[in-house]
Amino acid sequence: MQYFTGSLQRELMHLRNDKGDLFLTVAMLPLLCAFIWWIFSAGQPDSLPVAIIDQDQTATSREFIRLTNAAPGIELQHGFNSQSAAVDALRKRGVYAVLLVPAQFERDIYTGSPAEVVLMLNSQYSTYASTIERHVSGAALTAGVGIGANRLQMLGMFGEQSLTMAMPISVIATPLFNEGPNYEVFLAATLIPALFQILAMILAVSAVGRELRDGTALDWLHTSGGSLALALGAKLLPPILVINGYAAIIVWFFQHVAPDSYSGNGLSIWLSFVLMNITAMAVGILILAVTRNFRMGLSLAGFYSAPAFAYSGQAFPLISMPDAAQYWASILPLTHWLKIYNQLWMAGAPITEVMDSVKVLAAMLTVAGLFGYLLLKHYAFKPESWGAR
Amino acid sequence: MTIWKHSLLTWRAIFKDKGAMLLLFGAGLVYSFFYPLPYHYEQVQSVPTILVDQDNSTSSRTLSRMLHASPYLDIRQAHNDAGVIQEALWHGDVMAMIIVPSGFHINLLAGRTAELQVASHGGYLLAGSKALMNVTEVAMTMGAGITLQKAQSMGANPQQATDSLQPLVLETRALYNPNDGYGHSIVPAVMVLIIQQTLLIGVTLLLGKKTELGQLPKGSNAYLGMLLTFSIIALLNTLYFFAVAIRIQQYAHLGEFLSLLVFAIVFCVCIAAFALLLGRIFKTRERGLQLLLITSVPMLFVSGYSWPAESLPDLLYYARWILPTTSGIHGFVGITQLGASLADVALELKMLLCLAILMIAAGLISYRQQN
Repeated sequence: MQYFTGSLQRELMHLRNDKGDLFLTVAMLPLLCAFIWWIFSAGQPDSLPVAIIDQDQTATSREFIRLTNAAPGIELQHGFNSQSAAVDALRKRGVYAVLLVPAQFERDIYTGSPAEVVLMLNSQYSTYASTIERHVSGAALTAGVGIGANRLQMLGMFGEQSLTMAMPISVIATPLFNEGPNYEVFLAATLIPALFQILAMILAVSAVGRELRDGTALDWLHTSGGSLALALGAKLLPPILVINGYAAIIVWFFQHVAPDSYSGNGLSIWLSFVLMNITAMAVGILILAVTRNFRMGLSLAGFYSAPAFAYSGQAFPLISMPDAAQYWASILPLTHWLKIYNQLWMAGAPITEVMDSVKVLAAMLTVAGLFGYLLLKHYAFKPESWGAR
Repeated sequence: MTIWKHSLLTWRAIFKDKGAMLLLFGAGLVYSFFYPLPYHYEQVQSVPTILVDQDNSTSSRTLSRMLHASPYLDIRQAHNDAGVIQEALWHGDVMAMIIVPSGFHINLLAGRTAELQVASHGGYLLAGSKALMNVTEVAMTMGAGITLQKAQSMGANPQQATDSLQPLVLETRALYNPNDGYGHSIVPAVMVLIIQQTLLIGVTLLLGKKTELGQLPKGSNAYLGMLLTFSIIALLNTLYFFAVAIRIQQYAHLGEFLSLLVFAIVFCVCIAAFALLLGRIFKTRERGLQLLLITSVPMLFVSGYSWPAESLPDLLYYARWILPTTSGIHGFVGITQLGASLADVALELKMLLCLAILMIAAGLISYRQQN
């Protein structure tokens, strides 16, 4: 215990003296998490600019435009004289879609021909495009059913009956576990753990890496009475406490910001979050033990963790990735934690449902921790492992 | 010493530093293949969807056949056991669920609206919306067939009946990314981030060591010499990404090369000046690696590309331009993906020029102060 306290004090003393490391350990994560939440605080994309060209200029076209304008996600912008002016604005990103109501719109509707409206989307800006398309096609569907019902009435059908006949099957969309869709839940709450994984690895690599860089590994070991297990425990305790303390705040925060989106138990999700953080740290230690070079360890930890969100399957489903990408995803703690997040926290599944993912994380922790420990024990305390930059 | 001499010395220092070499030249090359890999197929191919047929009728079976034929849905038939369905959703084996409620067939026969429920896992937005879109399409096709039959049975002639089917057609044209490719959309933006971040980290790695040794070059010539070298390195990476890697990945490359080159030069000078400022702030070799790795994700989302700028809080809407990546992402995507001219990306170009001037001025002061 005395050795553990001594080693811990040595670590705390370092943090007190090294303002950069202190900032990294204590301040970086809350700042970035608050920033991410702030970015997505609107919850849903809103007021996306769409150019409207009304070549028909009739009461019917204006009615259609009014209906489209009522959709909350888009903001119609008038004043485009020609299609080419609107496409120019599209390329300049002043608008992200062009909605064109052609000249014979009203005539087509009254003569019973199919009336066409054209929506040109800047699909390179995919969030813009999909949001705009969703809103405009919703408006067009509503307008279409209305027109269809009118035509059927002209064939002699009654009001209610005609509406049913124009749309005999209606699809009711029920988003499970995330009403909205709310991007605070979809992106902010899942990007933040990706930041935790990156920082957990950086902190673990940094804590041990600097002892090798500075050639102080032996001093570190002696302070801990010669026990590497004790030395590692004391060294990693401050970052483990800080990171997992922040993890608890994050879980509490999202459960309160979007209570309808989370049906799972906060404590269970926090415990799994702790497991992911510690596993990421163990992988960090393993990477450092293999490279025995602080700079190289950080570079590899960055390569492993920085693109992890792209591979995690949260934004782009794992099943749609090539096999190689799926294999890479499977060695990232974040992938398994996000599965737990979706199952346990969002879908409210019982803990038995997520045991497979928990076991994978535990296995990664054990393997990375054990090999990291053995490699460090074998190599880290020899002078030839010190000083590499 | 002249600017050229300082520039040359910087090149030599880089070639002698394995770590800096790896970050300034190797990392970009590796990431140019590694980052697009998960999006190789570009689209969500088939969403695993569970079909719960509570009606078990001729109509529901017709619907089931049509759903099975839909290319983007991987339909798995389920019995009406709520436990099995819940388990599948919990387990993440399926991402969407279609429920054909009992009474579906009777409602259709009786001329009432038959409802069809589509529930998708809100955690998987992309897959969920894909499933919803396809089910709606199938429902509309089936519905159109029913409307057609009924209209004809009421005595409408075939043309009249057909006209009542789709009175309003929304023709959607996807410009610039015609297949709605996910990688096609996201990767060019991420390329800008990779160019900036590898440069910032590589430069701070090199200069951090010099600072530790008390050998950080001093004076305006030294500053401008380093600026020149780092700008050239950034430019080489940028041209590799937007002239070579983008073709290897088979993304669009529409803009004129001259526009790309001019924009790239301004962007690269700007990020090189940014890197030199950080090099003055970070006092150790590894500090840049420690602090900058984690900032890439927020930089991407605050740029107003993946997450619409119009939905950012007001302060961030304006403040996002402080980061060169914001102008860089919109400018490079504009030129290479939308075929924009320099005039079309004038805003981004002006922002980068202002940033570059400010950062070079700050850099000159900061590097001169050491004398």
